[in-house]
This record gives sequence, C-alpha cells and structure tokens, in this order.
Amino acid sequence: MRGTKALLSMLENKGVDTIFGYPGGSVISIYDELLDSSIRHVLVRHEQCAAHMADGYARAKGQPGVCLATSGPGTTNLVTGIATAFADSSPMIALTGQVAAGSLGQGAFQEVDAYSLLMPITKHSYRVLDVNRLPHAIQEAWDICQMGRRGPVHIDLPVDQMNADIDESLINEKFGVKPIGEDLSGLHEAVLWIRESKRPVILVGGGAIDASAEVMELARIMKAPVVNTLMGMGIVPSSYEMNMGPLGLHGRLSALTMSTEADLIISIGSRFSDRTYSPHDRMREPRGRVIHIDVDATEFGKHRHECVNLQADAKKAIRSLICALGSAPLSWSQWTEYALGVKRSSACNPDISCTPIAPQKVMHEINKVIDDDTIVTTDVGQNQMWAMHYLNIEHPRQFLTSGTFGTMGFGLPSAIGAKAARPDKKVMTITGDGGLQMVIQELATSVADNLPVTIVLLNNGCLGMIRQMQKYYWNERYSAEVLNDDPDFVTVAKGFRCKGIHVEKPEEIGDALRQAMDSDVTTLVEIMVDPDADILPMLPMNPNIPIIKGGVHY
Amino acid sequence: MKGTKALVTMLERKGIDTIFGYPGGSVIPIYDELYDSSLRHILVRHEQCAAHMADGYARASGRPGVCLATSGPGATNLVTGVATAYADSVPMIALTGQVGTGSLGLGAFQEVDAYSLLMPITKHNFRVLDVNRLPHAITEAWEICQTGRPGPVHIDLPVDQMNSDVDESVLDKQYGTKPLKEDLSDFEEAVMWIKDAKRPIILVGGGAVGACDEIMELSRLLGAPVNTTLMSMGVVPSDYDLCMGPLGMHGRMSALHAMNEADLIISVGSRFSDRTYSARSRMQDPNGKVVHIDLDATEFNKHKHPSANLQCDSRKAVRMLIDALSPAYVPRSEWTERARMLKGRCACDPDITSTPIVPQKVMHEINKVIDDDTIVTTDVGQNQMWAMHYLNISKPRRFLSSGTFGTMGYGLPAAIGAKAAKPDSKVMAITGDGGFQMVMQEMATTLAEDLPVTVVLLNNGTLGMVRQWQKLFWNERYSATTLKCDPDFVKLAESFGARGIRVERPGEIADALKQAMDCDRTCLVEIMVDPDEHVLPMIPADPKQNLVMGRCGFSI
Repeated sequence: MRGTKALLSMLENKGVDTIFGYPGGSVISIYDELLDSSIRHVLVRHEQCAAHMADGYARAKGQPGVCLATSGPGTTNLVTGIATAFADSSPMIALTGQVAAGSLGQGAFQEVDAYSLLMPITKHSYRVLDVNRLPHAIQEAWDICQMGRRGPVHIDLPVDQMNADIDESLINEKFGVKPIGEDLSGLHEAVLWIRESKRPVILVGGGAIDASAEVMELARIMKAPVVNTLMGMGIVPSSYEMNMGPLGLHGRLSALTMSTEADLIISIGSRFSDRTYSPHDRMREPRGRVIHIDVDATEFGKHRHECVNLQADAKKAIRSLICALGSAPLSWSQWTEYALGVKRSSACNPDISCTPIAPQKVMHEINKVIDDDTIVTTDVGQNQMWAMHYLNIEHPRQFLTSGTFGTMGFGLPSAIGAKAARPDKKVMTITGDGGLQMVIQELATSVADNLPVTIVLLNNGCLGMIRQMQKYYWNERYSAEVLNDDPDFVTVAKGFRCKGIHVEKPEEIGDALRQAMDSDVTTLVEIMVDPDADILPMLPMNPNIPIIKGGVHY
Repeated sequence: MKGTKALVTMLERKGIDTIFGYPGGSVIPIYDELYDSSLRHILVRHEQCAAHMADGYARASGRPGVCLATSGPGATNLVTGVATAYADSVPMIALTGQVGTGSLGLGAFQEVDAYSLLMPITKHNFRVLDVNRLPHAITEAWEICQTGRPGPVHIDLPVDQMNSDVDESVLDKQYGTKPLKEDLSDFEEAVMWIKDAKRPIILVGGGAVGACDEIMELSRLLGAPVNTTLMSMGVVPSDYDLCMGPLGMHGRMSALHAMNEADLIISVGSRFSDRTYSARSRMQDPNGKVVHIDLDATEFNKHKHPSANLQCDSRKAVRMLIDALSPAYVPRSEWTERARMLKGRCACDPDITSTPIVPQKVMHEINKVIDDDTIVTTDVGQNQMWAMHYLNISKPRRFLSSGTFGTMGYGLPAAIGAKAAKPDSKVMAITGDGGFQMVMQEMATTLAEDLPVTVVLLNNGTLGMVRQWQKLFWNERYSATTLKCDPDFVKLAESFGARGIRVERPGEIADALKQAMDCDRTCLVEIMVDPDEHVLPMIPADPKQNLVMGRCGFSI
C-alpha cells in the first residue's frame, strides 16, 4: 500500500471528514490520493486560512481539525494559524509536505526545516523519515492533540516516503496510550475552603468547554456569581441570572466588582491570563484564596494567591468536588443578593441610535438575530471586544475567537471552518476592516465550497484598538493606524459572487442582518461605524492609571 | 535616551530610509517614535507583505530592507517573508515586538518565542533582554545581514526594554568587525584547469550580481558561453551573443545543450540548485571539472564533479582569474562558434496570436514595453517560468523572483518594495490568479502610499504549475487545482481605487500594457490566458524521462 493511501486511510478511520489545504509540488501525490478518498478537501486561497479553518472546525465541533500544505512556503504560511491554535489549546493536526528524505538539508526547492520551525508552537512534532513510521505518527498525533491540554501536532511528510510502499499490517498496529497527569489530592482542602469562604466567585475559562453542565451544577449548588474569560463565553449562558459576564481588560464592571471583592475564586479551566486577571481586577482580599482546576499544571500559581490546585479534566474535577461537598447546605445569601444587585445596576442600554453608528448598537441588533443555532466568530481588536462585552452567548462552542494569540484575520476563516463542521448552524463572523483585508481572498473559498457565512464588518477605516491606545496613552499621536484606501468592501464581495449590503444608518442594521442571516449565499454586511467609538470600560495595564470608564455610568 | 529613540536613531544613522510594517500592542512605543522620525513607514495590510516588500526593496537597491511587526501573530506572519529572503540570500533586518521581559514564558497575550521560531530561517537572531545591548544588536545585525552570503537577521524587542532608558554613549560604541572567510588555495589549479579546458562554460548565479563587468570580460576573454539561473537574470544581458539564457527545468534549450557539452564549468555565485542542475541538465563529460566561486563554502561539491573551489567574493575572484589568464589565453573558437549556433537555433517566435491568449504572446509584448530600467518581479509557478524563459533582461537587479523558496504572492509586494527603493523606475509585477489572491490586500498599500506598479495578471483560473504536473505525470487527475470563484479582478482593483483593464484578445495586449505603464496610479492588467498552455520545454530531472517539448522546435 502506498504511503499516501495509508495516510488517508488512517485519517478516514479516525473519522476525519474534512481537510483544509492548498496543493504544491511535494504534496501532489497526496492530492492525487484525495481524489479517491471520502475525505472532503476544502481548497483555501492562502494556507494561513487552512489552519484557521481547521481551528474553527475544531472549536465548533470538539474534534481535531486537519490542515494540509506543501513544503517550504506552504508550511511557513501555516505558522500563524498553528500558533493561534496552540495559544488557545485547540486540537489540530497540521500535515506538511517535505522534500525527499535524501534531499533534506541541501537547500532544495521549497525546502524549510519545518520540524524545528514549528516546535515552539506545537504540542509535538513528527517527521516521517521512514514510511513505516507513518502509522505511529498518525496514531500518536491523534491522541496527543486531544488529550490533556489540547493543541496542534505537526507531521512532516517527505515526498519520497509518501510515494513508497508500506506494510499494510502496520496500519492497525497499536501504540501505548499516553497517561494524563492527575492530582486531586487537594480535594479535601478545597472543600474546606469553600465552606470557610464568605464571598466565593466561580471563574470559567476555555478549559471548561466540555464541562458546561458540571459548571452549572456547581454554580447552582453554590449560588455563587460566575464570571468568564473571553475563551469561556457561553459555557455558562449569558442569561443565567448569576452570570456577571466577562472579566478582564474590556470586561464587565459587574464581573470586576465580584472579582475584586471575592475572598475565594474557583477557577475552572482558566489560566489567569494577563488580559483577564490584572492588578485592576484582582481579588483584593489579602488572604484571598484560589481553588484552581486545570489539566495543565504549568498554569498553577501564576496568580500569586494562596491556592489549592486540582490537576484533572474539568468534568472529573467538578464531579469530584460536588461529591466531596456533600449535601450540607451552602449559603451566602447576602453575597448572592449583592451580586444580583451589582448585575442589575451595571446593565447599560446598548440601543444607541446616533450617527455615525455606535458599535454597541450593532451588537444590540446582533443579539436579536442570533439564537441557539448560530455560531459567532470574531476577528481581533475593538470588534472582538465589543462582541465579548455585549453579546448574549448561551452555549459553549458558540463563540469562537482568537484569545491568547489575538490573530487578526481569524474571524472569516474560522467561520468557514465552523460551517464545515456544523453545516446545520448559521455562522456569523464579526470583523473589522483591518482584519478582513488580511484574509479577504477566502470569500472565494466560502463560495466555491458552498460554506456560506454572514460577515458583519465594522468599518471604521482604522486599526481601532491601536488608535484607542494611542488616544488614551500616547497623547493622541496617531501613528500608522489609519487604513487609507480601504477598498469598497461591498464591491469586493460582489466581485467574489457574494452578496454585499452597505449600512450607514442605525435603523438599517436590523434589516440588513436579517437579510444576511436568511440568505444561503455568503453575505457581507458592511456597517460604517464611528472611528472615535472606544471600547470601554478599559483596565489599564498600569495599576496606577485609573480605570477608563468613558460614558459608563456604573 | 529611551530605547525606542535609540533604535530609530541608530537605524537612521545606518542610512535606512524606509521601514515596512504593521502596528500592534507591543510596538506602539516604536510607532510613537516613528511619528517624529525621518524614516518613512509604509503601512502594509498583512505582515507577510511587509517582509516581501523589504525583500523587494533590498533586491532592487542592494541595501538591506527593514520590516517591523508586533509580537505574536505579527511575528509569525513575517515568517514566510523572512524565509523567502533567507532562501534567496537577501539582506534584511526583521524587527519584532515582544512582551515585557518579565512576562516571557508566561503565555502572555500575543506572546510567541520568536527567537526560536525564526532560528531555522535567519542568519542570526538577537533578543534584546537589556536595552543596553540594543546598540550591539543593531550594529551586529546590520553587518551580519550584508557580510559574506547576505541574509535576514532578526531582532526581538521586548517592550519594557524599548521603554527603558539607555545610556546615549552606548550608541556610538564600536564592535569588532566580522572577518570574511576566504580561501583561494585552489587558485592555481583553477587557472590550470581553465587553460586546459576545451569547452569552458560560465554559469552565473544570484551571487554574481556584483560582478557583471568582470563576468562579461571573462566570457569575452575565453570566448565562453554564459548560462544564467533564475536568480541571475540580467547579470549578463540577454542579447549578448554568448548568453545562452537560463539553465534548468524550464530553461532554454541553448543553455541545456551548452551545459551538456561543456567540459569545464566556471560557476560564479551559483549553488547548483536542484532546479538548475539536475541529472539531465548537468555537464555530461565524465571528466568534466568545475571551478566554483562562492562566498559560502557549504555550497561546494554538491555537483559531484572534481572541483577547484574559490571561497571568495565573486568580483575579486573573477578579476584574479582574468589577470592570471590574459593576455596569453587563446579562445577555443570552434566551441565559441558552436555556442553561437546553439543560441541561434534557440530562437522561437513567441508572437503567437491565437485565442485564447497564450502567455508567450504576453511575454513578447512585455519585452516591447520594458527597458533597461524597468524592474520586473514575478510571482511563482507558470507565470514565473514564462517570464524567466522569454523576457529580455539586460541588467542585474531588474528581475526579482522567489527562486529557492518559490513563495506564491511574492510578486506584488516585492514590486511595491522595489518601487519604494527606486521611485524613478517603472515597476511591473507578473503574477497569476492564485498568487495574486494571496496578497491582493496590498493593492491598498500601493495606493495609500503612492507606490504605483503595473500588475500583469495571467488569469487561467487554475494553479497552473501543479495542474501541468497533474496533466503530465498524474494522468490528468486534476485535484484541487481549479480556482473556482476567482473574483472579478478588474472590479477588485477598481474597488481599491486602482485602474483595471481586462484583455481577452492578443491584439489588445500591447495597448493595455502601454496604458498601464504610462499611468501614474497602480494599474492591473488582467489577461485571460489559456489554462491548457503549459510552460515548455520541460526538462525533467530524471535523464530517463523524455523532454516535453510542446511548441519548442529546437533541433540541432
């Protein structure tokens, strides 16, 4: 059996139904094999987006996404997308072509040392120097990318090995199962801390994505306020009365209040990132404690509070915790009442009808058209933060965003990948003129491969987040943030055979969104928004600078 | 003095006038400093193109190009462009923002280990963990990227160090110059071999770009034909009577035969790459020898002939050879005549007027509108190979192409960078629908920054080179090579504010090109070409496989 056939057979056996890729010299043989495979190949227009699509697929489906690129520039083009998945713990397998094993290191055409290059941004790497080791690479890669803390795994495929024959019996060979590190020895102490606390808060991060039911159960038992990170949106529904919203740099002040006033934080799958947990929103209580549930022990202790760490899968850890808590009632009724009051008084009305359009108004309208069957992805920058701050997200895997890496351009390709994973869902991406330009060629992919999405483009003609920082911290010295000569996005969309709707008045938004969501063709809704609209409140990294609230009344 | 000011001051003092970049959190302080600087900052639309533009700038001017990106995704987006420059030995300095030194390794927002990441694709790396080491990094980077075999050098700039104060006196500190390694111990042998050779041929590569006059002189002295590679187009003028054209997989038959028949190769700055020098295109004489001139000793002996290696700057080495050989050397006139005959036979007429348009016709028309000063860049694939095969290039640094890495999308941003380096020259980018789509957002950059270029887009609706291979070697099983839903490129160009002209008939090409070249705004000329026209002749690496000739009627 030829190496390429072994490769695709094994992937098919794992249940892979889609590969996002772009051909080139060293992978022509794999592409030839794909013609006879049941795996759907989605041809992208830039390899960066093959990786982003695989990432969006994985986040939407909860299964590894697979991308494929040729050697040399094909591989280097994957780097940003793989790094994005690595930073957000997204399961992915990145397959790259490589020059023949005999040519390695001689500066062959389109050769790059992909194995070394991708090492800092992957969980693990393989280079199949002997086709008989291919099954090992695939088996292990499939395991490693999904177990413990998920992440991308890279497999480099020298073309001569792919063209060589492999012993068919090796395909079914079993390899050792990798053990996951676990440590629940702190369970007893955790229970004590919970009972001793007076003002507990539950912090939900991306690691809790498969433990939504367990998190809700714990939250209900404790009646404790819940705050989430950018990555944890939707794990607890926005509509849950004790959900205080996202915590962090551009989070809700309700969340900030609970976090600063807490005396115990139960963190589930959050790593206390510098965006979420900074001097401004940190727990003030000097003897404040943390119960930290995470599968990756390297994340423990960063917050510098007294802590009990439970290293385990979120589901298992919470189940154990609930079990250990027993049936003696827990009650912090004053704290609960207080939280509800804070949530009430921090509620603002985003239905602002001024012109130029305020992005809050856009978010308000989006909330009206999205439902349980919508997946929303975002790009990076102000558009991302408005979405995080204002959108009502009810389910996990409903809000996909590049949190840790903050990769501009993530929005559109991840939406296309999500649509490939969940064709039954409506998919919307929220983006800005900067990010969309970086990946605009993928409009062709969404049309060519019949993966329609709605694109909500907040066009303010600038790199808004940079502009905002320059406004508040650099005396309005605006350097390199204006995007002169933005294209006419609606014309561009139409040039790609998409639909395009241009919106300049607030009352037109609702209708435009509905048209777009109802359409079965990719539709770009370009909404001209105010370049001076800032995403506030904003927590400066420097603790000596007070929180910038702008017009926020709370 | 603040770190950012030291950085910008030192760059200014080195004579840098342009930085191609894209802002982000960790480089806002640098961008604030740029606000007051004499450096011109060109805001790209994707960092990959900042690197490609710096690359095009460097190739066109001979001076290092500088690009700047933020941490995390900004740095990763530079990777392809830096790797492209590394593969083609282009001098470049890649500056990346980085999180504060106290945050390194803690998974901060937009953090990536850029130092490790860029290691396989740079000559050297620096990470400025202490602002007082900044001058050292810049001084050394400036030197390393240009000394010996040029290449990109990366400097990682943690934001806290950039915001810290550096002792101003440190800026002027001198650091040891790096010695350039030379080894001329094979010189005598080289001279002897040249004197004994009956059929000497000169192979010039990208490393010969500074030795054009010397190479012409040597060629005339010896009566030796000259083959070029993709990287050395224009080092000898195409119309020089002993210029055989490019050698390689899609090279000229004249070059192929001259190389096959030679008994001595004088290689100046060529590394005998697998695309240029294969089992089929190599010197066939079993006793054939090589005199190899190159600055990078790691490239010696790959060709597996007996070799006299001169590790030396090309200009110096060729000058030395000329001095040692003349005036006593007697040219091998029979061989010289043979070479002229081969060149005479390799002269097809690309003025083919069929419809759909064939790309040869396009190249024919391009030859009429370009002159000695026009800079032509190409993308990758069939468009690149047609350009290499047919265009008449007379000077070095006029034909810029991603040779070793073969990076699609290179064409447009390299053209923009070249224009920034040579604003008085006309610049043309030849590209395909695949490669153009990858970087089309840079149309905004050409307009916003007033760097007009002409884009000649050969639109065949496919990934042509891969499709050609699938036709020839994979039984026409076309997998993932049809670009469905190509956009309307003319509308696209216009939506950016550029001009767009679509051409569907061969008679319209000349006019469209002329309009585009005369226009002072970026103009896209979209030429619909035949998807079934292949780049031929194709010289497979395996000598057992037949040449695929196509329209080529070369015979001797």
